[in-house]
Amino acid sequence: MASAAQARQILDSLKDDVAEVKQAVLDLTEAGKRPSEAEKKVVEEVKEPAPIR
Amino acid sequence: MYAFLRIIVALLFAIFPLIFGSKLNALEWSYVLPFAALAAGVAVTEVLYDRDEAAKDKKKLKEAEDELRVVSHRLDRQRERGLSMARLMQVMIPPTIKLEKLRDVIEELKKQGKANPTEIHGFLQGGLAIANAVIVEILKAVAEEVRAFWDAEADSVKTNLMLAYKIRGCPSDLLERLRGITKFMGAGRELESYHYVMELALWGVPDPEIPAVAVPVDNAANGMLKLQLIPGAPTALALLTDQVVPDTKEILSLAARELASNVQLELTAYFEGKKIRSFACLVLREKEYPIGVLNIQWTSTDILGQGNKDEDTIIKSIEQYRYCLEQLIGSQHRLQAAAS
Repeated sequence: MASAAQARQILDSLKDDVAEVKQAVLDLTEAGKRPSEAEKKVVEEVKEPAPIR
Repeated sequence: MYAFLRIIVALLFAIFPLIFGSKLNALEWSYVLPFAALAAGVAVTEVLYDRDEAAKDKKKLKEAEDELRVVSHRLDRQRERGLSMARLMQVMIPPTIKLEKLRDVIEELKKQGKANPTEIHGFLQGGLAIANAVIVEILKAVAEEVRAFWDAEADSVKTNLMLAYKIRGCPSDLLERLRGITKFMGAGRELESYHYVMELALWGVPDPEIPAVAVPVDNAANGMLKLQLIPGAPTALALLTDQVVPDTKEILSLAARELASNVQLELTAYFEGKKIRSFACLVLREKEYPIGVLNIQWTSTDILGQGNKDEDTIIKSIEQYRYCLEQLIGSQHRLQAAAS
């Protein structure tokens, strides 16, 4: 038997799902950061290693 | 440098005894000493040459190591992107299922008369808003896919969703609202003379240069009207075929000569001075019917590249998102039908 409470519960649960989708898209964007910059940093690290203290 | 010097010194060392053999045999010091100096020169240049070559080898090895680090980093990044995409697809499933469940509940509540119309309207609006929020995230993900493909600047790729409404059967209040924002209508024509009208409904990240707009779509089944199709999204929807406008400055080259002249002028003026330089229009369907278009725009020309290879790769990388959009828009339609 359907009830209004059930509908409200689904909507609440859907809000949590949206938050998860948002986080997944943020992760995707983070993972796709411009490679040239990231790779440049790696190369610089290789060429000029930080001084050992 | 040492390679050349090495040859010269060795050559001099070799020909010296041939020219001054008798002097060397007679042990004349003024000849023996230069000969000895040449011998020492050969030895020194050999050592210097070997050192130089070893330094070059070391440099090459270092460069190879650097390249290996970069390639390894790139592979790590691709793996990370692959995992992020898989995760995104995974979290898309629950909202789609729950929206269908919400529709069932609304349908039953209506049937049983256990909720008043205001409550039902609230549930419907809640469901539609949730679906829209997920759609916006999908649009952002599509823009990110295309941006990453071209390694383009952040925000240079934007995406939006256009929803299609069939003119016949469209509620009059909706039609009136759309009439107010419709562009590119043929001179002397009414919105009712078109087959569909498409409204720009949602953006991933909005483009401030493109305000709210609706566009009319002619019926491609009519040969004469097919020639009136506006390039881009209207053509994609009418022909049920993805379209690309590789250069907005050349958009009229994609239109038939029969396209109304006022529409041609309006189209050219619309893109003038805007950053958008190319866009792709991907048709969205519910069963065999068109329900909208996913637009992907870029501030550079040739968003799908100049050959089929890039186009295929990009379209394939977007297919799963297109499917999600179709499911969500379908869910919205079913929710509306259940609540009406």
